[in-house]
Order: sequence, then C-alpha cells, then structure tokens
Amino acid sequence: MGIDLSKFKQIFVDETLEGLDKLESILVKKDVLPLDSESINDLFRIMHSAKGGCGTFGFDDLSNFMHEVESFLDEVRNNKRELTEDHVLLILETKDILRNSLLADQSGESMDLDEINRQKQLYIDILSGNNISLNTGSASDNKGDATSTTNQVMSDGYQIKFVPSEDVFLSGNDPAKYIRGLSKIGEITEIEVDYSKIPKLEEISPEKCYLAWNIKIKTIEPESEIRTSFDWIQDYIDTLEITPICVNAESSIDSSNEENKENNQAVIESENKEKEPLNNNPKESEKPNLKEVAKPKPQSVAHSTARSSIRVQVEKIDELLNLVGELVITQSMIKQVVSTLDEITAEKIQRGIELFEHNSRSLQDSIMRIRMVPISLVFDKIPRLVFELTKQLGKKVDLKISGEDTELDKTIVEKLDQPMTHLVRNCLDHGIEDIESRKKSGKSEEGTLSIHAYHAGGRIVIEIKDDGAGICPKKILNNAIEKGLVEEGSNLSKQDILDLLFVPGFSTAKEISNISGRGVGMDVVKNNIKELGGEVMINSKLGKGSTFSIQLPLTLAILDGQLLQVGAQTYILPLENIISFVTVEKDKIKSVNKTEELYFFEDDYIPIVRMHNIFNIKDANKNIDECILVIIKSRNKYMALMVDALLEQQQVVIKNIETNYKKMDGVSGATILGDGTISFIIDVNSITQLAQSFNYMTGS
Amino acid sequence: MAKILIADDSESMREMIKAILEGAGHTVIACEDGQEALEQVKVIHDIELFLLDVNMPNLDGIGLTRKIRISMHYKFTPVIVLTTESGEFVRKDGKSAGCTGWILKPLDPETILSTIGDLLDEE
Repeated sequence: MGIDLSKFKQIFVDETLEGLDKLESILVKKDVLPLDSESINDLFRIMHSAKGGCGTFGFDDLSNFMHEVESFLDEVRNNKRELTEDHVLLILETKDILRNSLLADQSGESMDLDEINRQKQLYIDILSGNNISLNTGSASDNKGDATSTTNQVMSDGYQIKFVPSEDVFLSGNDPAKYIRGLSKIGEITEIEVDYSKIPKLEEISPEKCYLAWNIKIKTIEPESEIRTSFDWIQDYIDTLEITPICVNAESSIDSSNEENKENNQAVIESENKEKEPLNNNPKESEKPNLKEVAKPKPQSVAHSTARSSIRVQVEKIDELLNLVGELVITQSMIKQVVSTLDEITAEKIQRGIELFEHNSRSLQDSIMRIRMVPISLVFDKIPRLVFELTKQLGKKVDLKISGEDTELDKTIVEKLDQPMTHLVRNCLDHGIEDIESRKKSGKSEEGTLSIHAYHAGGRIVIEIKDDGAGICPKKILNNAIEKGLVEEGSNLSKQDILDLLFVPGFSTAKEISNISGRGVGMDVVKNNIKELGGEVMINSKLGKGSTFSIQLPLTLAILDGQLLQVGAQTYILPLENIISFVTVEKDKIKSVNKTEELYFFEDDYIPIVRMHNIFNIKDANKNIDECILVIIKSRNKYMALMVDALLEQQQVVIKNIETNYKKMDGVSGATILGDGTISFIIDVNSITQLAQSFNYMTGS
Repeated sequence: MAKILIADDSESMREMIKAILEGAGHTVIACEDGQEALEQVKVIHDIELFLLDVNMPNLDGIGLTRKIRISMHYKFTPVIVLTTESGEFVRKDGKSAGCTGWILKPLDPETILSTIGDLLDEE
C-alpha cells in the first residue's frame, strides 16, 4: 500500500525542531538546577518523540543516538541520576547536533556522523558510570575502543531454548508471535523446532501446544532484553534457557526462515476479549454503569475532532498573497475605468465596487494574518545566547523578555535573527560591565538586559535595553575623526554622534573580541533592518545604559499609500510617515545660505525638500506658491516634501525593484497603478539623507 | 471497517497513523493527548480499537488504558499501546492496566495494519 511517508517526515522535522526549542528554553533559564519533575518529563518526552520519529522516518543513526539520550534522561526522571550543570551543557549540545542533522537532511546534505557518534559515546560513558568529559576530541576517541567492554555483555549472541507450556494457547497467546518478536532484538541466525513431544494423531488436542524451539540469535542487547520479550507469557513457559554464545560472524543465515525475518514487531495478546481485563472485577463489568447510562449520548461530538491547526508550506501562502496583490491592482483598474463612465452607470456599479473593495481587503487581512508569527521565534533563542555569553564573559546578567506574543510577518521574523543576535551580543560585550566595574560604579553585580516588543503606530517596536556603561559621545566622535569618517571641528548633535555607530567601518571596541565585532559591525545591523523596511535608533546615557530600538513594519507586502504628483510622475508615500499636508504660505518660508529653504511648521523651522530636484523631473511645477507641502517624519526629524498635487490614497502592492533591476536611492519599491502605469514608492528614510547630501539650489 | 481512536502527542506520528488507517478504510478519531482521548471515550461508545502512545502529556497511554477499561463499553475492546523497546515497565504496567498488546516504535505501516487486522478479524 502506498503511503507516502515523506509528507509526515516534514511534519516530524518541524515538530522536532519546535520541541528542541522548547527543550532549550527549559534548560537555559537562570538557576535552572535542580529541574522540577515536570521539566524533566518534558525533556524526556521531547527526546522520546524524537527517537520514535527518527526510527520511523529512517534516521537510524540519530535514532540510536537518541536512544542513549533517552536512557540517560530516563535515569534522571526516575531519580537515579542527578542532573549537573555539565549535563545541561551536554543536552544543549545534543540539541544542536540533532537540530543540525535534521536541517542537513532537509537541505539534502549528509549528517555529521562522527559528531553524532562522538556525542552518543559521551552518553554511553555517563550511563556506564564514567565521569562526563565534555572535552571531546582525542580523549573520547580513545574511549571509542573501550565501548565494547563497557557493554554489560561480551558475547555477540544467545542460544535460547524456549519450551512453552502445553496450555499456552489457552492464555490467548501464540508463541510464534514471541519468536517473531525476537527478530526485533537481533538477527535470528538459526531456529530449530523440537517436534518430539507431538503425540499420536488420535491423541492430539488442537488446543495444546506440543512444540519447543531452539533459537540462535545474534544481538548486542543484554540477556534481560530477551527475557523481557517473553514477559507476557511467563506464566505459560516451561523452560526458557538463555545462554550467551559466540555466533560466528560468518555463520550463514537460515534463508528458509522467512517468517521470522518478516519484521513483525507487534506482540499481541490477541484473545484478551475472552479474558477478563486484568484489573477489573468481573461482576463490576456486568453491572451497567449507571452514570454512563443516565447520560444522553451526544454522538455528534464524535466527529468534532477537527484539528485546530494545519501546517502549510510558506510558498503556498506567498502565492496566495501575491494573487491578492494582483487582485488589489485589478480592483484599482476597475475603479479607474468606472470613474470615466457617465454618472448614472457609474453609480450603479459603485455599490458593487465598494463591496468588492471591502471583501478584498478582508481577504487580504486574513491572508496577512496567516503569515503572522509571534516574535517569540526570535526571542526564544536569546536566553541561550545570554546563558552562553555570560559564562564566557564572566558577567552576570538578568534577562527580561516581554511582548514575545507580538506578531509580525514571517519573512521579517526570519530575517530578524541576525540583527537581534548582534545587538544582544553587543549589549553584553560592550554595554554591560564586568562585575568589578559594576561594583565600583555602585551598581548591583547583576546587569539587566531587557528586551521588549510592542505595537506602536501601525509598526512593531523592539527595544533592547541594558543598564550598562552607556555610550560616550566624545569617544565615538574622536574615533570617527580618527578614522576619517567625520571632519574635525564638525558640529554634531548627540544623536548625530550616536548614529555614527551605524556608519560602515566604525567599531569602538579596542580589540576585536570574539563576541561582538566579528567583522560585521552595526552598519550590517542597520542594513538588515533597513531591508525589512525598518529602522534602528540608539539612545544612551553615559553610566546609565543604552537602548536600541528597532522599528519594523507589520508586513512587507502591502502598504497604505498617498499618491503624489510631481510633474507627470506619480509617487507613493507611505501613509504612516505623513504628519500633515499644508498649502504654502509665503511668509512662512525662510531661506538660509540661498541653498536651503525652511518652512515654519508648528513652532519650528523644518527643511523643504523639492521632490523635482531629487528625482530630476523637468516638467514639475517649480513655483512653490502653487505647490503643496507634505510634512513627513522620519527618525524623529521633520521634513516638508514639495509636490505638485495630491492624488488619492490607496492600498498598493509592493513590488521589489532590487531583485529585478538594482537598488535605487530614495525609493523602496514600485507598484502598478490601476491605469497600468508604474509608480515608485518613496523611501522616507533615505530621502531625508538624499536631501541632506543633495546640495540643491533653490527656485530658479 | 472499524472506528479507531488514536492518541499521540507527536503530530507527525498521529497524522501518519491516521493516514495509514484511513487509507485502509477505517474511521479515525485522532487525539493529541490522553486527556482529550478520555473526553472522547466518555461520549463515544462504539470505538472498536484503541492505539495509544505510551508517553503523552496530561494523561499517558497506560493511565488512559486504565480509565478506558472502567467504561462498560470498553471492557473487551482491543487497546494497543505504542512504545519503544526501552520501556520494559510498559509491558508489565500495560498488561496490568488492561492493554491488549503493544506495537514497538519505530512504526511501519505494514505492522500497524497487520496488527489491527489480526485483532479486528477475530471479532
């Protein structure tokens, strides 16, 4: 029968990876030891499931490995062994190996069998009473030879004499099933049936068993394992002799013995129905259970066992999202056409279009929600990181995480890993001081690192805050001048100086430690976040600590935009960046140096950016009196964009330019409008920078 | 074909067994843990076979078997537990709890089908 196991293999890998993450979160808690019994049970169950699945889906090496891990955890669970800190590290290592192996298999690579076997040996050593040694490498290689001696049994097989009692069938058991069961323990090399007790034909009772067997089995399992497999019929066995033998490795396998080789693992006490269930009083079973009878039988519930979740490949959702994107475009196309119709016809269609718009919006929202995953996928990795780094650095850190249920687009969450890791490393390495320094400055020995995610203004904000030494602006400025990133004597605000950290080629650490500053700097963090349509900001107080905050859009696929006209071009500005629209009042304009124009807006002068200058549009209206200013906010700075006219607001589907063309400054993407024209989406962050570097002349 | 209840906390196992059994024409009630299975047992009285993972959160397979056997509807219904070879105690406990038999993990489709085939034929 054709059951395709690969489908379930994928589910297995996914669920195992999830389980491993849970395992890690259990183990990296502060003051993890001693573990409570519930946690130990969780650990055991995770490894147990992993082992079962590995076997079923053909990861035999992993399954054997997990078997040792499981045995070890079983001892811990049964209080036969105490879990030490070394053990915790070992289990975490095991988690990594298992994880990497599964991922390797997924991407079609081979697993690191040496590593698996080395790790497995560590568990075998622990189980056989040797002290744990985490120094893998040569030491454990030596131990490799000793494996066979640490096993309880030297022999490589057993001779089994199995004589069931005559009335074994009456117990509902078939001895053949137990013999087949043996093939699970090892390889049956020889089997001999002893017919000698079969009586004359007329004396034979079909309900009696007259046979006995002599079986040779090749196995490394202990004798007890074989005895156990006969446990269920132990009351019906006359003789069960198990003697260790050395089965000749070359001994031929009895090929006629196919029935035994049939890998039948099932052991059934098949006629249980005729027996009383063992723990039930026979009388009780005849007595109707009043409670059960009195209750009405809600049979309909029987079929309400629908699963609460399903797993879907991301590509399928992406495709769906893409289609909805196209739908949004089609919708604005129709809208466009309708606007050209005569009023009476248009009105008739209007109602339908409104409904269509409403529905496509709900559809899109629902699909977006499918793509939303909790940010805990990223946050869950942080405890382990902090756990390991603090050990390495000899610092004490209390990690506080909140808002891990905050949801955002899966793509964003996936790409958040690296920048988050980098920022956390940075905080631990440069931010939080060592114990001595903390004592000197009158702080508690233990530093605090708090990570907090929340919604704000249609975006997600992640704050990474430490109570460490803070960042000294002077040092940064000097460093930047030294490196030629800033000219000497430049007049920079504190915020400008802090932002220098994100400039490529900047690193404040005197020596490159192997914790942060592994060749990648904060500029990479910034770029990563920027690619996601977000931004990073620093806030720091010397001696008090620093806060990095990352702002991210909820999704990358669709945005609400304001259409702007500049000359013959239409641009789209994300609504979330817009503060206000103003018509120009001449007396509020102020020129500085003849190169810069400022506009008085809410008690402050803000720079005017002429869009036609930045995008070099010749046919735009250059007379500022006739134009409209769009006040935008980016990185806490205000700016007034000068545009010819405002068009409608609409939802646009973001199409990536970079993948099709190349990266363009000032533009984050493009979209197709209802009339089929292409329009660029303005990247507010980079346009502020463009405007600053663009030494444009005013007016004429 | 029979109505079979399976309980396994591992989604891949549960879905696989379900697909195997449904492929063979059986009706399957799949539960994520012992507690959920018990709720089903209380309201559904015509399940013809149980396949229970031993190791489950909330209520394990052995504990569940004990509770199943308390129900007057399931005194003789076959209960198979799924276990790994390491669980020696499972066989003893399982037997005293009223399990009919066990299937060793790793699972393969043929074993599952032949095992339940054996049991259901005997009805």
